[in-house]
Amino acid sequence: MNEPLDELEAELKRWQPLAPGPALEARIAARVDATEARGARVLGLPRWFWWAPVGMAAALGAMALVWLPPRQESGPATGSAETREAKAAPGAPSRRPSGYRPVRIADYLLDARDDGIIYTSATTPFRKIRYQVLSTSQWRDEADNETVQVLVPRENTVLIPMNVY
Amino acid sequence: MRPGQQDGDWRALWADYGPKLLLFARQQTPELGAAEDVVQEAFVRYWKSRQKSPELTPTLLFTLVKRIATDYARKSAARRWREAEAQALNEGEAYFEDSFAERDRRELVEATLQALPESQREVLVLKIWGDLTFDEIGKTLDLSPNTAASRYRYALNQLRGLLAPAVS
Repeated sequence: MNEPLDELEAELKRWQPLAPGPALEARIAARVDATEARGARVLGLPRWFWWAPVGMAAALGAMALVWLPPRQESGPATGSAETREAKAAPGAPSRRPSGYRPVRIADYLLDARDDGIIYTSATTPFRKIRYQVLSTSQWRDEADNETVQVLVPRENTVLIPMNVY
Repeated sequence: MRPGQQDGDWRALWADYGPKLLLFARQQTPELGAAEDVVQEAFVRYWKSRQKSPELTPTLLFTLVKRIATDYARKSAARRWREAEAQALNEGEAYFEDSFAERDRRELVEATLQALPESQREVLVLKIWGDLTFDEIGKTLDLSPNTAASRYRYALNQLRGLLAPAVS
């Protein structure tokens, strides 16, 4: 089925397809190099390394729950927390969220993805990059030594203007 | 496959396949800028995939060009070009390299190619300039190898009448 070329096929094959222009190669280079640079920066380390902050945050949260000191209740510990609070002696300090103070706030970069070049109505093209971030904050109530940790996954999209030559 | 392509040098792959891919893409969408966009997307996707799966062959590049061009035509105004009758290439948007002395001949070859039905033209391009076998063409275009071979023969027969005088 794949016979040797005849005269016409040889004539056609003699014509070399036009090479793509340098601008196209530059566009590809920008995307490939960006990917490889990201790979070197973000993926060069083992993948578990980038999930380590998530694991650490979860571990901290679990430790905070385990190590919470037992509450000093005057009566038997029955009912919900709201019920217990309602049963507390008059004049006892009530636990309000206002008692919490931030002790640690951090953002962890989990991944960065290059979505390539986008063209808007403006003349300048933009490189679109998406960052996946885990925002963590830790709050502590000094009165009863309670700790609360909040984990919020976020995705930030950044458009970086590009110079075109 | 060239030696440089084994060690992560995308430029060697690009030098080898860039012209073939662009020619094939231009059979899907005649507008040069759109064809370049398609080739860029296909090449980058393939290269990223090959970092994870080195066993992927470059033949996949043609499949990606076909799929992306189809999506592109659905989503954009390129549909107009796809559905239009074969149109003359603009000046400076030739398919092939040439010397000044061969310009007339090159324009004749391009005009006869454009006169072919798209289904035959894309098989011819993949076979002649893509260096694909009929099996590979079949996989690329989702055809049986026999259908690809038939379309190729039809295309050659149509071209033969137009180009034969110069060939002989």
